[in-house]
Amino acid sequence: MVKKLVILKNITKTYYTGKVAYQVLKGISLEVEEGEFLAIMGASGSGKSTLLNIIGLLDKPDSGIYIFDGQEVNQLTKKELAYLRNRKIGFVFQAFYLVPWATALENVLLPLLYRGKINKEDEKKAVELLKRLRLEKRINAKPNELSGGEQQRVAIARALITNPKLLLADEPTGNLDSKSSQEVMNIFKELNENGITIIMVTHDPEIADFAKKIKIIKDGTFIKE
Amino acid sequence: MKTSFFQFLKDIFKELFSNKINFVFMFLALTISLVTLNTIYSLGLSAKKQVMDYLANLQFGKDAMFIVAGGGRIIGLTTTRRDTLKLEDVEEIKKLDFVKLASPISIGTLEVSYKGVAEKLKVEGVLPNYVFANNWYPKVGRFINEKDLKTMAKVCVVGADIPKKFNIKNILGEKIKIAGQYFKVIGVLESKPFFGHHRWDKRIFIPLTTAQRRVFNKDYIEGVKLLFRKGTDIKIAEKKIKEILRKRHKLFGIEPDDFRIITPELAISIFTKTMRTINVFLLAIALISLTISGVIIMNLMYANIEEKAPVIALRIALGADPRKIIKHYLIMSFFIAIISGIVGWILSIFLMQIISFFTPLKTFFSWKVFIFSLSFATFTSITFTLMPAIRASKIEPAILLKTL
Amino acid sequence: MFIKYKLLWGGLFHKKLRLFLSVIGIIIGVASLLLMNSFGESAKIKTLKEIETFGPEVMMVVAGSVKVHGGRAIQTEITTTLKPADAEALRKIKGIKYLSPVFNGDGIIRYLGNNLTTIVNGVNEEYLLLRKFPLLEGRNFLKDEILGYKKVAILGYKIKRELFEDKNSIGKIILINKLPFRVIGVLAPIGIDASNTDQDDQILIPWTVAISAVYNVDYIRSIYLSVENLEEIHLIEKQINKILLKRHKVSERNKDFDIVKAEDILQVKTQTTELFSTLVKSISILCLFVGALGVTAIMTLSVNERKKEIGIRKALGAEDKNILFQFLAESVFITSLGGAIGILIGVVGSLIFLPLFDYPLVFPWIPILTSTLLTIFSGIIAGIYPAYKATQVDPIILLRHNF
Ligand SMILES: Nc1ncnc2c1ncn2[C@@H]1O[C@H](COP(=O)(O)OP(=O)(O)OP(=O)(O)O)[C@@H](O)[C@H]1O
Ligand SMILES: [Mg+2]
Repeated sequence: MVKKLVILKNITKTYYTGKVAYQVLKGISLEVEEGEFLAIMGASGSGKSTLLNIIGLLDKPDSGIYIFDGQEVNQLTKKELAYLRNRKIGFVFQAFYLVPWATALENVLLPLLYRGKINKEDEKKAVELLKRLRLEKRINAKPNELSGGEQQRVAIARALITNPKLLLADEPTGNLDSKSSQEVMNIFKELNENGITIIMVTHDPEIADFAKKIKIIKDGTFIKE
Repeated sequence: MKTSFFQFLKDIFKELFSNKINFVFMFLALTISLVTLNTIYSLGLSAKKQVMDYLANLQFGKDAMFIVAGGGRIIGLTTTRRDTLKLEDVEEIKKLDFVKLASPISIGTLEVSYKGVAEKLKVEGVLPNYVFANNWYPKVGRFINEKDLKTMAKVCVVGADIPKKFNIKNILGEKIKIAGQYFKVIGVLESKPFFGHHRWDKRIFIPLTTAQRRVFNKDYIEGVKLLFRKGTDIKIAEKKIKEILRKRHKLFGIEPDDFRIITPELAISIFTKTMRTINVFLLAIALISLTISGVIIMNLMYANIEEKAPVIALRIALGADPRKIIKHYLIMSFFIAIISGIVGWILSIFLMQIISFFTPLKTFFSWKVFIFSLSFATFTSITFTLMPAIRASKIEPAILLKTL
Repeated sequence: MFIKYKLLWGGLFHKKLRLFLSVIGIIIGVASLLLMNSFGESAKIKTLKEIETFGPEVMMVVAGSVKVHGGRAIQTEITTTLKPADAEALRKIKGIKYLSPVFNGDGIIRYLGNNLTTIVNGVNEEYLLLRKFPLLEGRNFLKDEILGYKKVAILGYKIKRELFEDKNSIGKIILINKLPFRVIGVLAPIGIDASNTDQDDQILIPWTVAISAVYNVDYIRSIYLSVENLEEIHLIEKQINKILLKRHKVSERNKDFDIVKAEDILQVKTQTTELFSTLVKSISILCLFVGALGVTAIMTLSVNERKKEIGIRKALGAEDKNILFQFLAESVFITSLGGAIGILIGVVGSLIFLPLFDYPLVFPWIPILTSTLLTIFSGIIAGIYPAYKATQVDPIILLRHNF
């Protein structure tokens, strides 16, 4: 039997703007098996990012159950959540979010800072990752010296340095041209084939096609296939 | 034109309030320094004013001088003879055209008693013009007159504390004993504020002639108070008087003066000396902290301009005059200065109120300090904004392409 | 290894101008804090030194009456009833260590072509010991010289410089009010003492000569004395009072002398110095405070600008304490760097300015210590608010658009 990495049951999330309540997620249930490649689609404002925040342990749901990698996460402390994010989850954002004053290599090593030491082996591993993403010539470049595609690849390398089980991507191709987008998606595909579970949010059906499975959010719940 | 200037101001305000942290910290740093500066400065002025008021109340504000018998350093023990200042010297000084009034004094500390209560008090032999010389008039009764002087009358005028001291209800006409002789009280002087060890209200005044012949038995005087005509140059007056006295006392060459000349200026400086040293140090500290505030403003301005760089670049790209950009930032810093200047001034008045509650220092309200506060604030703020503003005007429109 | 620190500290060095200006603020603050503290400390030492020649064990019996005001003894009346025999009579009191009659007057001094006026103090051989005046060269009076009406003189430092410059003065003959005196000693520089007189501008001669040959009087102006045991000072004061009242045949009320304890004069002086010291020291913290405010300002700004960086660090597994520490460390770094340079400048400044303003030069150990502690403290205080703000950054902002 394949292990379930993410189990969401009846997740709800409401935002309050002033006194006006706005329920974004109205009982989301989702199961993601290890090795899956899921694309989540939906209109703007439908709650995709909100859901991804919850899956990525950056935010907590108002109600519902979330079991990540066999662990019920609702009761975990901030510290334990930080630990889980660091060890098991990799993030790729639309706007890359590289640290502007650090080089590509340093950016890749950033997650390891919160594990304690950064040793020579880690550096070697980071260089290898960058090579794998065809960035061997840009290792010491600063983010503002890199193109969008290159920046996103650095961000992917940063997500992979910790050997995460789960890779979360929020519109990873949103800021890229179609050629770079294809490149990034090919990398994702390859990573997935090597066993990493991927959950990706996108607007673009063409990009969603790279995934094995597509889910669509509407009115705070998934549309039934 | 008018609307464009209005727009200009609006832009500045928008920028100020859109970045509240920046604004608050610039304002805070400047205000704290200004409050300290204003308070210290005001308290210094206040102390000086207290002394000057005190001296002015004694007709020693300006156009006046006091000559004390006995030479030596201004403060401290006399080291020369003290019996050389005579009434003839006073007559000679009176002849100087700028001298309006000369009031000689002969002093001694004598035992004064009334019905068994006795005390050693300062007794001064004076002329009728003493009241004008010191702006000090009888509250009841009258002061010594020419007739008392001529007849060497045994009459006295007493300070305001005396009746209480001897427990006399109706002192006029009573006789008190001074150094064994009975003196009739003819007047009580109004109360004078005192400062330091000059307890004016505990003195007793008798006619100078009576003092010299009947009480002290001496032909010299202890001092003379001079009032000058308005606009007299004190320096020249001092020099002339010194010349006369030295000549009359036959002092030549390096022989030291056997008298001391005390000018109002000197009196003020003696009274405020300690206060002044402390004040100078504290003012220096406040000015340094103002400079630090300036550096903070400069730093935050740079940061602000860095943040606004794309907007500025866009403006320059659209053809804005670089001078207008400099002006924009200078006016912005001027606003910060004005607000801090006013708030700093108001807070310093509050602070002084608190201080005056715990210390003898008095609150000092002055528009001069307000102007002082504003100008220091403006100077600091604008000086330290100048460099960042110039930097802003030199932003290359080319950065637009990079940031977009 | 290096990368770890680069990742922790890189944000700080990213904007050099900003770092530089923040550090400058602290430098000025700490330097002036240190300088002002040095002045405060030095002022205390200055007073202590002045008091040294006028210790609490010293008393004066002054002819006439004296008012102590503002730390100065002001003679308000002079009498001529204090006689040398009174001084001798006081010697009998037990517990007196040194005693010297004093007669002072102006003197015109001549040596070769040089003329000057100064104060001539007629004293005995115990006066130097009593006042703790050190001799630069030569020797003290001998008892025989005092008793034998010998015309010998000890010069104050300034007098010696003015009359003799660098040349030797010992054994030379000078004229005091036209009488020849042999110089036997020169006082070391003392400066203005607690009684506010410049002790370098005086000449000491035997009191016997002063009241006879020089000034021709039969009285003395004062008697200086010191006690063996400080606790007995009030007792001795009472005894002196009693003896003199009896000798002068006057009642307490008609007293023609006054006893002034050095303590009374010094009280105001020490109080003023204490006031100066505390005021200057405490107000000077303002400089550091404002400097620290600058650090808070720039760190807060920096946290605002680096929200994304903080968010990403958190998403990647940084705990609040990591973030808190990072920003606290940044502000402590800024203040410590500024503090170190500021202390250096402050020390150099103290060494230059203290002598310039006539304050005794002491190496400012205590101010350095207090400045260091205050700097570290203010660095932490300055960092608390921005560091706290940094921990409040929520990583969910990263997934929001238009951020
Ligand atoms: N912190 C917040 N406070 C209030 N409302 C919020 C907050 N975050 C998100 N929202 C609202 O919740 C809704 C869902 O937001 P979310 O970012 O999840 O949408 P999305 O599906 O990711 O949209 P997009 O495709 O534009 O990225 C939106 O209407 C948004 O305005
Ligand atoms: Mg979204």
